[in-house]
Amino acid sequence: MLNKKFSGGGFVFAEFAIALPLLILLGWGLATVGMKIFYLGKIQLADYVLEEEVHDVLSRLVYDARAAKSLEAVNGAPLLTFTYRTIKESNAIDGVILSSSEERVYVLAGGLGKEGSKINYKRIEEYLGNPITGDNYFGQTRVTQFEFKKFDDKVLHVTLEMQSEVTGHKIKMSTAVYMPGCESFYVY
Amino acid sequence: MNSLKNQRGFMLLNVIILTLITSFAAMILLNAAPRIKNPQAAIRLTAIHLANEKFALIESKAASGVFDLNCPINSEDLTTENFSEGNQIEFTVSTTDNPSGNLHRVTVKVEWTVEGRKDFVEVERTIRVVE
Repeated sequence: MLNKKFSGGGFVFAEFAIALPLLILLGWGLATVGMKIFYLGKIQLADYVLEEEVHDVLSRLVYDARAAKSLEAVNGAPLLTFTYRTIKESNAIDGVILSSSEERVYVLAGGLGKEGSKINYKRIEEYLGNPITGDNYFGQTRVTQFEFKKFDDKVLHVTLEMQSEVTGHKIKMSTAVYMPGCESFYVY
Repeated sequence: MNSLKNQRGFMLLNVIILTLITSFAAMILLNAAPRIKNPQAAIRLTAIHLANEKFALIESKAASGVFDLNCPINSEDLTTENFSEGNQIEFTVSTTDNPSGNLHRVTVKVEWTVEGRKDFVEVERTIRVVE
């Protein structure tokens, strides 16, 4: 009676005994691959943020430099100041000509190579920091090198190196810009 | 034999589920592989900034009336280690000129090789030589 009722039961057991380890192995493999993908994604985003921030600072800087009337760069700080002169005629009767200058400043906050150091971009009258690097949700960065050199007559050479605090990867880019309207050029 | 006939549905289901799981794993692995090669874009950006450096030097010379394609770039900028896993990538810069009057259409080509694969960027700018 018993034998007739459970005939073929051994097959189900054998099938299960083979399939279960296979399933466990596959599940484990999938979990590992899934974790790896999340990890790669995290690294990739952090790298992308790093690359983007270096490129963004350099391209802004080049854009600002092209129209600058004067430039003052301090390598120790590091601090970079562009000045643009805007001349306004305030009163036609008095004939008084007021000249006011406008400055744009790139300044490092937090110290070179220090955790969370970032580049602030501001007008000199405003003392509020306006960070253009760091504080990114996808990966914090720090500035490890920000250097200025005077090349030819009116050519500013900039080197910027930043490091991601998530991956530890460093990226360094250098460029130079010719400033046609530059009248005074000081690099300390 | 008789007992196997009764388990056909179960075997079929098993084969289908296992195939699905395996193909899913293979699909994920195939998608994950190309992610590692992406940072190539960082090298391209570095090369573009290097080309701009060359332009800045040519423009500066041109503003004083000299047209010189051979002005030397900062030698440190000709190598990069951006996302190169410790290997140094070397850039070679070549410049060609297409003049018409005192306007020069200058093309800067920056070339590099990563793991035997050659790549390059070409940037063009028109520069006026002051007379």
